[in-house]
Amino acid sequence: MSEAVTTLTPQVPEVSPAAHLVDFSDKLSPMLVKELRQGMRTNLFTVAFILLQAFMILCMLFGMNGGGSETSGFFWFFVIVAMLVVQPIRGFGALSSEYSLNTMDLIQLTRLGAWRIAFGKWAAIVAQSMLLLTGILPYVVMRYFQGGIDLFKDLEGILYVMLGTCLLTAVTVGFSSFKSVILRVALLIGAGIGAMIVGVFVVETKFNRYSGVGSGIQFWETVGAVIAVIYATYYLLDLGAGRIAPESANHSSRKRIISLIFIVVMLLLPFIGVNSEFVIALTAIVILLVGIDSITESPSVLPGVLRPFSKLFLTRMAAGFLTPGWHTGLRYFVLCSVLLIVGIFVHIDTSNFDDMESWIMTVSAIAAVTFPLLIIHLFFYPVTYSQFYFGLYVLIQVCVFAVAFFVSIVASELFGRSLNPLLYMCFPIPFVNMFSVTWGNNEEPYFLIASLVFLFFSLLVPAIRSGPIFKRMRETFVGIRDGNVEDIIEQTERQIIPESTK
Amino acid sequence: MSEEENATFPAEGAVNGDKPPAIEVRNLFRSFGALKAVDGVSFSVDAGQVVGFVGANGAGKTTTMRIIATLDYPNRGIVKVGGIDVVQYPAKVRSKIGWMPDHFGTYSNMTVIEYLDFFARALGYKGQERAERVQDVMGFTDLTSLGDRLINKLSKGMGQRLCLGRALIHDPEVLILDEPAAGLDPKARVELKHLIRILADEGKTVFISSHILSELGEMCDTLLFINNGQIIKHGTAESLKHSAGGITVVNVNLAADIEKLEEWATMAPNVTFKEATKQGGRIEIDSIERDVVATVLKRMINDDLQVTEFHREERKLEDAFIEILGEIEAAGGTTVK
Repeated sequence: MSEAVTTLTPQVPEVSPAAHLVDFSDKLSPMLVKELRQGMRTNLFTVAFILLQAFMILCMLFGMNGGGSETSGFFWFFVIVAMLVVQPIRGFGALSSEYSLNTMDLIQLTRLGAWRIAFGKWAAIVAQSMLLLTGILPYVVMRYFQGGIDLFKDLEGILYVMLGTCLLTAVTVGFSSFKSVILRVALLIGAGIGAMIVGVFVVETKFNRYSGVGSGIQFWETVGAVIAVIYATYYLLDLGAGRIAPESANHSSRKRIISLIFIVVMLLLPFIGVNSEFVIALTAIVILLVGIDSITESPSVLPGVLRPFSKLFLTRMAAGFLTPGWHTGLRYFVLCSVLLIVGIFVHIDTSNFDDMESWIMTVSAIAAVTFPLLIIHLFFYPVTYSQFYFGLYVLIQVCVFAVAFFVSIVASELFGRSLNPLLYMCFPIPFVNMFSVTWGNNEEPYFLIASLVFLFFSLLVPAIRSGPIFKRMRETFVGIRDGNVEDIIEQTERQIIPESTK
Repeated sequence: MSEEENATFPAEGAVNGDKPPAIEVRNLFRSFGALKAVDGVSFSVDAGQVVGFVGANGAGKTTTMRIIATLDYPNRGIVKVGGIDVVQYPAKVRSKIGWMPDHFGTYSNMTVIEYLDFFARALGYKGQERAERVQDVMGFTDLTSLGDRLINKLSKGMGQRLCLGRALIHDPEVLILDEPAAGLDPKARVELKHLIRILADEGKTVFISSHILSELGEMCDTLLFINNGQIIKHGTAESLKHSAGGITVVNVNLAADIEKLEEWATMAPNVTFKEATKQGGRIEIDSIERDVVATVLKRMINDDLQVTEFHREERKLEDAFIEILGEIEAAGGTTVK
C-alpha cells in the first residue's frame, strides 16, 4: 500500500512529524512507551510530584533547627503515601480501562501478548514511581547533613519502599483485569488484610525468634523475601495477563511451573537454616493463592494450546496438571498441597505436629479452598465450562466465611471457650472446624473427620465433572497425532457443555 | 437458504485461481447462552473483492466479523483467512488483517501521531521504517496536519479516519470494517467511502458491514444478506435489487382525470394501484420484464389515459432486503429461525 499511498498524497511534507518520535528507544516495550507518554501528562502524576517536593522542602525547613531526625515521621509519611498509596492506585483500572475504551481488541491484534500488555502497564507506573523517588533523594542527603540520621538506614528504607511500590502496583495492575469494580475493591481489601497478617507474622518471626541481627540466617531470609516479592510481582502480573489473554494463549502452564519451582525451592530453604515455620507459612499462602487461581480458570482444549504437550507420553501427562482450566488446576492444587504436607512432615517437629490441632487446621484449610467448588459444581455446573468463575468463587467463599464466623461467634457467646461441640456439629464446614480449634480448643477427631469428608467431596464432584473435558483433551491429542485437527474444529462443538443446553 | 446451499456458496464474480480465498467461512456456529448469534454461516471471499455484509442489528454481522478477525472463537466450523485457520494460527492471521470496529475508543492524553506510533511499535516496526509507516497512513487518511492534536479532541469523522489509518499500518491484505460509517456526517461518509474505494483499487480485500445499503451497493462487488445468524441471500447489488418480489413500481402522471388511473388499474391485468400522487399515481406491475412494462404503457394509451410521464422507479437495496425477509417469513420461515 505504501507506494500507492505516497503517490496519492502529494501534500505530505518531506519531513513527517513521525520522524520526530524518537523520545523513546525502539527497545522499550510499546506499551511502556504509550503508558509513559500518557502517564506523564496526567494531573495525578504532576500534582503528586509537586506536592511531594513541597512536603520535602517543608520537612527540610522544620528540620533546620532540631536535625533531620525530628521530621523523620513526616518525611516517611509523605514518601509512603506517595509511593505505596497514590502510585499503586493508578494501576487500579490499568487493564479494565482498555476494555471500557474498546481498545483491548485493537491491542490484541498487534504482536503485543497479554503478558507484555500487563508488564508494560506495570512498568510505566513503577518507572514514574522511581522518578518520584529519585526526586526525593537530594532531600535524603540533606537530612543527613542536618544531623541525627543514619543515611544507610534511610537508603535501606527507600529500597524497601521501592520493593513495596513494585509489589503493590503489581497487585492493582493484576487485579485490574477483573472488569467488576466491586470485585476489584473487594480483592484489594482482602489483599490489604492479608498483607497486614503476613507483615505481622513476618515481623514476629523475625524479631522474636531471631535476635542475631546480621547472621547468615537473616541474610537468607532477606534474600528469600526479595525473591518472594519478585515472584509475587510476576505472579500477579501474569494473573492479570492470563485473564485478558485470548483463549488460544496459554498463560497457565508457565505460571504453574514457576510457582511449582518456587514452592519446591521454598520448601528446601529450611535445610540451609531458614526458619521452617516461616517457610511453611509462606508456602501455604503461595499455594492458597495459586490454588484459587488455578481452580477457577475456564478450560481451554484448543489444539494450539495442547499441541506443545502432544509429543510424548510424559508431556501429555503434564498437560493434565498444567494446561489452562479448573480441571487441571484441581490436580495441580492437590499436587501442591501434597508437597506442603510433605514439607510439614519433614521440617516441623513431628512430635509437635502429633496433636490434633495442627492436623485439623491443615486439612480444614485445604478443604476451605476447595469447598466452594463443591457448591459451584453442584449448583452452577454449566458456568464452569464456559468462563472464569473467580467472582462466583469469591462470593461463595465470603458467604461461607461469614456463616462460619457467625456460628462461631454465637457458639463462643453461648458456651465460652469450653464450647459445646454440638453447635459446631450442625455446621461442620471447614471454616467452622478451623474456628472451633482456634477459639474453642475443640481438638476432637470429629472435626478432622468432618473436614476430610468435605475435602473428599469437594475433590470428587469436580473430578467427576471434569471427565468430559479430559475426554476432549484426549480426542484432541489423537487429532493432533493423526493430523485431522481441522475436522475436529469443524465438526465438534467447542464448548463441551453447549451453552444452549443450560 | 439451506445449510447445504450455504456450504457451497462462492462469492459472485470471484476469479478463483490457485490462491486460497481471502476469507473462507464454513459451517460457522456461535452462540451466547441460548442465543444463536451465528447459525451455520458459509461463504468465501476471493482476494481483491469488496464484499458488503448486510443485516439488522443482532443479525450476526459483528460476531462473524470478530471471529474472522480472531477476536472471538466459533463454537463449531472453519474460518480461514488467506488459507490460514483463525483458531489454530491466530497470530499468523492477525498479520494479514486490518480490523476497524464500529466503536472507536479514544485514549486520553495522547496525540494522533503518538497513537499511530504506538500501534506501529506494537506491530513490530522500528526506527525509520516505523516513521515511514506512520507517515504513510497519516498522509493517506489526511491526518498529517492533525498529528499533534489529542485524539479525544477529534471529530467522529477524523476519529474514523484515524481508526482506518491504524488498521492500515501493517499494510494488511484483508480489511474487516464493521460499520465504519456509523454516526458520520455526509461529508465524512463520502471521504471514508473514497478511501475504501482507493484501497479496493489497490487490490485489498475489503469485508465491510453497514446499515447504509445504498453506499454498500456503490462500493461492493458482492453483498451478503444475513438474518438471525444465517446468510439469506447473496449477489451483486444489481441482482439483489431485482431478485426479490419480481415487481416493477412505476410512477404515472396524467394530463387530466387523474382519478381514472386507479379505476383503470383495478381492471388491468398484472397491475395494482399503490397510491395517488399530485398528478397521477404509483402502480405496481407484477413483472420486471421490460416488454411486460411496455405492454402496460401501451394499454394505458389505448385506453385513453392521457399519460404525460411514465417512469420506472429505481428499486433500493433496502426495499430488496426487506422484501427478501418478507418472502422468507411468508414461506414459513424455513430458513429464518
